[in-house]
Amino acid sequence: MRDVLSPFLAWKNLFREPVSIADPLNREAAPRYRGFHKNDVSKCIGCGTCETICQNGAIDMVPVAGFEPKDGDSGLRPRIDYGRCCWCALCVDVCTTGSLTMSNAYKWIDADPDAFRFVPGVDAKSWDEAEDGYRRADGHHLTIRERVPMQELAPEVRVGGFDEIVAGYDVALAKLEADRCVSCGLCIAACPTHMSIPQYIEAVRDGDYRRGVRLLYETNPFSNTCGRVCTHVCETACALRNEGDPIAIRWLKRHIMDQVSQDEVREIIGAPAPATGRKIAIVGAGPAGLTAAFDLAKAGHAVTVFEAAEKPGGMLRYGIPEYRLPYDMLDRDIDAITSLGVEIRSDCRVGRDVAMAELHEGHDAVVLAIGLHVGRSLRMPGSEHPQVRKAVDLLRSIGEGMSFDVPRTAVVIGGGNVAMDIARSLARLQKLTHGEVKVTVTTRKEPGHIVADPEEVRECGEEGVVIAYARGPQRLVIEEDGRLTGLLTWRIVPKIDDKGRSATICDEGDAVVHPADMVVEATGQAADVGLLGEALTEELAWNRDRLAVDADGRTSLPWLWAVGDCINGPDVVHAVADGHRTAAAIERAFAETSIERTRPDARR
Amino acid sequence: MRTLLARLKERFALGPITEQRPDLAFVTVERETLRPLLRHLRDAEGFTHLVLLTAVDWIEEGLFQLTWLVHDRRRARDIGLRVMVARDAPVMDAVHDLWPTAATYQRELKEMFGIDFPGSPRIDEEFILEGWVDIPPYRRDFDTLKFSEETFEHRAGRGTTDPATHMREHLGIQGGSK
Amino acid sequence: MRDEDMNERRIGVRDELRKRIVKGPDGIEFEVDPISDYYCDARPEVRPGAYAGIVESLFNWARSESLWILGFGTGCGAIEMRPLMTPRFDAYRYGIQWRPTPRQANLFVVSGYLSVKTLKRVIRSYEQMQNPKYVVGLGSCTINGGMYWDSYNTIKKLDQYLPVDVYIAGCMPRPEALLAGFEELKRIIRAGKAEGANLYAENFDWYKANQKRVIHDWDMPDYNW
Repeated sequence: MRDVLSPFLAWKNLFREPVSIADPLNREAAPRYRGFHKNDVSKCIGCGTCETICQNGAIDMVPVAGFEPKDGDSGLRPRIDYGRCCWCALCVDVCTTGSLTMSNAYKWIDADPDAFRFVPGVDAKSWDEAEDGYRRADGHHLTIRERVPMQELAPEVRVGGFDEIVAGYDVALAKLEADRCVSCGLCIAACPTHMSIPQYIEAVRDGDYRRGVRLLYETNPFSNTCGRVCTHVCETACALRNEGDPIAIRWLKRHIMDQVSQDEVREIIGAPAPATGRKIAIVGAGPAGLTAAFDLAKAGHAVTVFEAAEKPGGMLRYGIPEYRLPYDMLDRDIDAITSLGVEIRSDCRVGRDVAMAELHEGHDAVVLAIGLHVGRSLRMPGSEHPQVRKAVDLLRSIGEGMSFDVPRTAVVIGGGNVAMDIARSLARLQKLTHGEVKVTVTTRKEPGHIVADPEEVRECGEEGVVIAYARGPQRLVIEEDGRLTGLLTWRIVPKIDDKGRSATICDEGDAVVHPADMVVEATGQAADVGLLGEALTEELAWNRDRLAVDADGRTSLPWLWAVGDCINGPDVVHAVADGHRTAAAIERAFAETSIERTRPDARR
Repeated sequence: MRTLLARLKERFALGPITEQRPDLAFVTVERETLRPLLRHLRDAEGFTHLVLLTAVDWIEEGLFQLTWLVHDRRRARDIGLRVMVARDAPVMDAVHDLWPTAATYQRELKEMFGIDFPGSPRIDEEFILEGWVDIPPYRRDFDTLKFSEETFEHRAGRGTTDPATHMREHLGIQGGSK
Repeated sequence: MRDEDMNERRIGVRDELRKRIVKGPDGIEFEVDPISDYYCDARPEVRPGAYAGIVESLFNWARSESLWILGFGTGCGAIEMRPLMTPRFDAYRYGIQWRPTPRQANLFVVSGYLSVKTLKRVIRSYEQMQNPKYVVGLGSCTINGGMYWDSYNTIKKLDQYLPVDVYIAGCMPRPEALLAGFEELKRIIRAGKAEGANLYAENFDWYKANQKRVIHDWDMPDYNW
């Protein structure tokens, strides 16, 4: 009976809703479906991390019209091969900028197998504007965002002396930090001297420190120094800064140098090329001059460096306080350079002990690397007072170990790193002499806009130095008995002028006198070009108060070159880069001319 | 597991022992010990099931590591026996007479690693691969990407650029190592 | 030429494919060469449209509305055809169905990666299908190797070995994408552009050379159906 009836019972299903999807051809995927790729090409920096992580070899980095390489952007963009992709979304998860995402589009049909390849965001696709799709979940990161913390002296300990603050990584920590690097290489272009950064980080990862030192010395003979005080523009180009902290490139460099003994360093540098018979004089034993000396000596030229101060190093020794760059570390760098046979004549001031003309006579080329050793003054009323000092002079005195009356209260004018250096040096001296820190830094800038490195500002505060923001110095307060008692400042008020430009005005109503026994001006430096002599000064071409040089550092006189801070402003690593560039240019110039034509004394 | 291992130690020469979990241990033994030990485990200790027989290529040491994993159903525990065989003369004793399933594993290992098990049924016949022409593909000195590129045609038109090199070329960067 | 070729290659051929003497039930012995006796090995021919204009269009429409897929899943993508076969997506309403034998099918969906071993079976199945016949490449693997791009044992470009009418991107493509792909194939068929079988016949030697380059134990006729 059931068998007879059951076909009719099936009719009861007639009005049930069918399980079939009514229109499968127009069905949207889930909101977080991993569909076809999108890329915000203006946000993408072309680091190629997506390419590296792709297990299927589906991603190529290709040049794209309209995106030129610049700092922190390689100008490349990922091209994805849908003949390889498996939509695992690792590329999206690892993307350092978060520019690479996925839409929830999933239909791509073509008769041409070569069509399934495109640059997302550049080749227009129908899903470019899709809102839904997969993107990395908030807070989800495949890279390690925090940098390995650096051991530092506590503020109350470090202010009591000139001991180095930063301890440096040990091997295990350095490996952890090196492991964060994605080896994109964007930093190489940003570094003024184009160090092989991913390669030496890899050497740290592998624990091969000799390879690391070899790589460092290819581009930078001041690696002990730069490992401590470099302005590390590389770290601002680091792809990981988009994720969190950039890689501690500077500290990893220092770590490599810390692991290898000085004897080994000398051995790795090796011997210079056979002597060429060329002679070069370099004026100034700072980073720029000594880098040029290193390169030229390596090529087999006889290099003599003339240094006015007692010891070589220039601003590294007489400008940077010991707590940032211990003198023995600087000595290691200089020792490596002199190991190539570079002769440094200290205490020999050109213009006093030896004349420029003599240098010209006896050498194939002369390089001026005289730096910026003269402090600029604001020339406000009262700045001739003997207790108004310039930061460079004071730092030099500290570097030379000369004693002076440490003021009980001091005011530093300026918001740059030099101001921080002198303020923190004075704080240490005050602590040692008087037991308490009373240093105020006045800067025209608002908080957050100060020129000095943020870490310098932070450490300054930790050490008890007060920073007075937005204060414009007006005049010095001098008592009738001639005693300096303070500095008068007015508040700086930001203002937009009639033409819409931003400008500042001083608010006379908000005047403050900062008490001071000593006022230090850290308001810029100039080069001491007096050594050139009048005739040479006349003969040379100038660009305002700086020597005019071409891209290679050559002045208007073919035998005279100028490098470093005196040309490009103060910065160690720029000085190193400058030294390299000029050394290479001198090499090229030598290759073009015979030895007889360059040196006056050989001509005779 | 401890007592079992102690018992085994009395009867057999056991090498290094790894106790992975309370119910899983690995024992390295010499080639001669393997068959008697397996037979003992199967007949006297209740390890009646051969879970798998597999190999690892320790190319740096010049060794293949063979692992027989046997399971004691009643006490829910496993023991893995390891034998290291020389890579340049990879021969091992067959155990298909103890567990017939071993014959399949042994054929697979012969094909994928080139480890011979003399006497194993159909050991010289093709197993999964047909018309294989190169060295056994699971050996670590077999470069699968290279083989794939030489054997199969890949779609043309691909090609990538290294960001660092690209920036060097376009910004005219001279210094540094390439 | 074929015989020498085969003799040379027969080294390593399985026993059941070797030439041998068989004794019949009547006691007479005769020689059997399985490879040439069991299959027709005539070369494929190009078959242009048999009718003119509107009739051929009508035929094409009819062909497009009856895509009969060979039930042969070559790789993991075959799993996406299960929901199509069943009521959830119910591909039958689009004139698509699955057949158990190549003789009844006109559409081969190469569903993902193809190992060399499977390629051999795919070629034989494809050749046994009736004209006109179509091939759909499903997923990354058929386009450029997909995630098996560095595998020692899978082909990378399907169009080297078989004429492909349409590719569907995805890994794997969703059932909806497959349906859209089939709709696209229908459009191509209706336009009279799905000439895979003729393409195969025209470039037969090229396809065979490519196939034999990767299939080292070629123990079958060059063409069989």
